[in-house]
Amino acid sequence: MTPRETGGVEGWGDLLPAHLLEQVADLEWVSWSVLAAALPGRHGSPLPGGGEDFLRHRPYQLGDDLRHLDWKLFARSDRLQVREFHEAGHLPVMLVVDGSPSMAYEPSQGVSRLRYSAFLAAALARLALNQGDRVGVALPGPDGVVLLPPTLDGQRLARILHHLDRMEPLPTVPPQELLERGLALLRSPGRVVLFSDLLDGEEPPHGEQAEGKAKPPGPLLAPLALARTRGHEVTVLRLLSPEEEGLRSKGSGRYHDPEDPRVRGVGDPGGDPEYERRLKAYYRHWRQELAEAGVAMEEAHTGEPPASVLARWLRGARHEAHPITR
Amino acid sequence: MTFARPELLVWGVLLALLPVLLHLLRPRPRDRGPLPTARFLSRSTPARVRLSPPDALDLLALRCGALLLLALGLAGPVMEVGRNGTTRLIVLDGGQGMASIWGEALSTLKAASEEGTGGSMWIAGQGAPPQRLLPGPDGIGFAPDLTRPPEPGDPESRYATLLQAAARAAVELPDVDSVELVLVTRPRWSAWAGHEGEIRERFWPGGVDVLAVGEAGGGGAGASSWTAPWEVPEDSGYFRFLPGLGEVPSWEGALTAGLEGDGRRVSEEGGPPGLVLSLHGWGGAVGPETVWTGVLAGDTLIVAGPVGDSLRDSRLPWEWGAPPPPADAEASPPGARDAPSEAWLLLEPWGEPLPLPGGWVEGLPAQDARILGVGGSGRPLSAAVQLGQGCVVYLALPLVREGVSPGPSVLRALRTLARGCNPLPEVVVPLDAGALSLLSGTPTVTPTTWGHLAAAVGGSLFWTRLLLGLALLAIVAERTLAWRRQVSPLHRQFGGSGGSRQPEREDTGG
Repeated sequence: MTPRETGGVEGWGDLLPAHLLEQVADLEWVSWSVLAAALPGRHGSPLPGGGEDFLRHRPYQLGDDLRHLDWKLFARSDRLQVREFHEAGHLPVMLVVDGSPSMAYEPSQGVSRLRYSAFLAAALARLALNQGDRVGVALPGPDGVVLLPPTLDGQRLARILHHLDRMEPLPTVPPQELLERGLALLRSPGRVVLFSDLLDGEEPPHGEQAEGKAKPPGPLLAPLALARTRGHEVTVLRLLSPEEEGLRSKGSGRYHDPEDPRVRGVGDPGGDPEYERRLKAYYRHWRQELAEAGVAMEEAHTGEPPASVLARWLRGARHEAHPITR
Repeated sequence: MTFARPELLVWGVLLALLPVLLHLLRPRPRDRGPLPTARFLSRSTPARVRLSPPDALDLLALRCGALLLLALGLAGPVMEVGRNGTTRLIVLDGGQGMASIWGEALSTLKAASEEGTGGSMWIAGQGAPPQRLLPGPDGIGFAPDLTRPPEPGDPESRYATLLQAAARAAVELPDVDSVELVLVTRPRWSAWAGHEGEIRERFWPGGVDVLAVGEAGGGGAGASSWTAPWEVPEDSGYFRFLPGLGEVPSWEGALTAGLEGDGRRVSEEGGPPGLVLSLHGWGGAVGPETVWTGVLAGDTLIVAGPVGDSLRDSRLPWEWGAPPPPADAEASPPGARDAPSEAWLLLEPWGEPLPLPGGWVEGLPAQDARILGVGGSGRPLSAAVQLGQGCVVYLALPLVREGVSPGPSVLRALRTLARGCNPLPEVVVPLDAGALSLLSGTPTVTPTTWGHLAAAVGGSLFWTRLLLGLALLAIVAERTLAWRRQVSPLHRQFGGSGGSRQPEREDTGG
C-alpha cells in the first residue's frame, strides 16, 4: 500500500533518509515515523495471511495443510487449489536479522545494513503489534544471539526496540543458524521476515559450467525453504549499499572482503560492467531459487529511505507475496 | 676481513636491489579498503594503477636484508685473516750450520726487525710458533727460545723444514694480509733448487728476502730475491730455440731469457702444437742436463729441467705418506704420453701460479684436471689447473744424475700420473679420486686463497653459519609479517573475536 493508495502525502518517506534517521538516535520514534511515512492514514492490515475473510486461491504446494484444500473446486476443475484468507490478528511474526560481518559494512554515506535493518524491523514490529500480531525476533547482539519468542504484551515493542538498537555483528553465528533458531520459536504458521545481504553464498556457474543442475545459491536457502514448507510466509529483504549496487562510484582500486581479507578484487564497483553482470547473476540465482521455494524477495539498498522500502514491500506483499494458508 | 668467494657479494647486492626495483616499478591499484561484494570485482579488470614508492618499508628491508645476508654468508667471510698492512715474518735458521755464526745471525735478525714495514712483525724458528717481535733492550731478547744458539743434539735444519716452519708460521699468524718473509740463514744455494717454488708458492707476491749470514754454502750462485712473478707470454703458440744459456746463473733467469728469446712455430717443427722452449747449454751439455720447457697448445704445460744435487733425496709422492697408485697404474691408456726418455728430467722449477689465460692457478686441481706429474716435494703445488680444456702440470723427479737411473717405480708413476694428460685433445681422462687425494695433501697458500686457507683451518664457518642463520631468521620474519598483514584487517574489524563462540542469550520476553 503506497501513500497514494492510503491517501498519504506521496514522497513523505523520502524526507526521512536513513542517515537522517540515524541522527535521531531514538528507535521508537524512528519506527513510528517510518511506519507513518510508509502507511499514512492506513486503517486495515496491509499484510495478507490467515483470517476469516477469503482472499484468493493458489495452487497446492507440498507441505500445505490438506484441510485448506478447496475440495469443491477440485471436484469441478480437477485442480488442487488452496484457499487463503486475511489474517484477523494474533499472527506470529518472526523478524530475523542476519548477523554476518558484511552486514556491519558501513558505506561512505548512509548507515550500515545492520542499522538499516533495525529501522525497518522496528517499523514492522510496530506495525504488526498495532494490528494485534505476536512479534518475536532473532537478532545478533553484543552478548550473543537474542531470541524473543512471538508474544503480544505491553512491553514487547520496547523490548524489541531495545535489542534492535544494540545489534552487533556475530561472526561466529552463521545467518542460517540464526534463522533456524528463530524458526524454532514459531509454534504455528506465521510470518518470517529475514533481513540479509545474502552474501554468504556462491556465485552461480556460467558458461560451460552452468550446464546441469545449479548448486543452491547459499546455505540460507535450506532453512528458508523449510520455513515455507512449514506453512510460514517467508520474505527476504535483501539489502545492499548503493556502492555495492554500483549506483555510486567508490573509486577504482583494490578491495577486500571484510569477512575474508584474502578475497580481493580490483576495479570500480560503479563502473565495472563485469562486476554488475556477476552481481546481478548472483542475485538472479537467489531470486529464482527463492521463488521456487515459495519465498518472496524484496531488494533494496540503504540509500533508499526506509519508509519507501517498507511501503514498496508492503504493497508487494499485499498483492504478490505468498500469504499464509488456512 | 676477506671473502672466499667475493664475486658472490656483487650478485648479492644486485639481488638485494631486485625487491626495491620490484616495489618501485610494480604497478599496483590503490587499496580502497573493505567491500563485502569485492569477490564480484574482476581481478583482471584494469584498475587505475600508479608507480608507487614502497608502501611496506619493513617488509622491503627484511627482503633486502635476507638477500644480503645470504650473499654475505655464501661469500665465505673470513675474519681471522686479512687485516691490514704487510706482516714481516722473520725466520731464523737454527740449524747446526748456524752455530758458529750465531752472533752475526742475531745481529742480522735485529737489523731486519728494525726495518719496519708498517705492519706487525713476527719471528719464528723451526718447530716453534711465531711470536710477535716487540721492542726490548736488545730488540730481540724477548724470544730466548727462538734466539738461543743451536746446540749439539738439535735437529739439523734443512731448507725444507725451514720453509715448512715459515709456511706454518704464516698460517698461524692471527692477522695476515700478506707476508713478507725474511730468512736469516747461511745459504747453500745448491740446496735451494727444490724449494724455490715452494717459497714462491707460499709467499708470493709478498716476496722473500734471504739475508745471508756468513759465507754462502757451496753449489750456489748467490742470493736470490723474487718479487715479481715469472710471466708466460700470451703468444704461447711459438717455438723458441735459445742456445748459449750456460752462463745464466739461476732457473728463473734461464726461463726468463728463454721466453724472451726468439722462437719458431712448433708447427714448423712438426711437433705438438704449442710452445716448446728449449734451453740449451744451461747447466751443462745437451743431454741429460738439457733443460726442456714446454707449453703444449694451451692444453698441457710441462716443465723439465736437470737434476740437481739437492734433488737426490727427493722422493715419490707416496713415499711421503701419500697412498700408492692403484694396481693397474702401469696400464697406459691409449694415446697417453709415452714415458720420457732417460735424458729428461721433469723438474719443479717454481711453484707460483702462472698467469695463464685460464686464470690464476689455485692450490688444488679442479675435478676434471688431468695430471702429468707432481712436484718434487711430493705435493702437487699448482699441479693442475683448468686451462680451458687442458691442464698445467709440473713435475720434479730425480731421474738421471751421475749414474743414478730412474727405477721402474718412477716410470710407473709417470705413466700413471700422465695418463689422460696427453697433449692430443682426443684423450681426456678425468682426475680420479685417488689422484685427488694424492694432490690434496697440503693446502697451497696463494694470495687468492686466503679465504680457502681460513676455511681450511675452520675460521670462516662460524661467520658463514651466523650469517646464513640470520638470513633464515629474516626470511621467517618477513613471511610472518606478510601473513599478519594479510589477516590483520579481519582482526581489526572484529577485534579478534572470531575464535570463541558467542553465548546465546534468550530473552523469553516476560
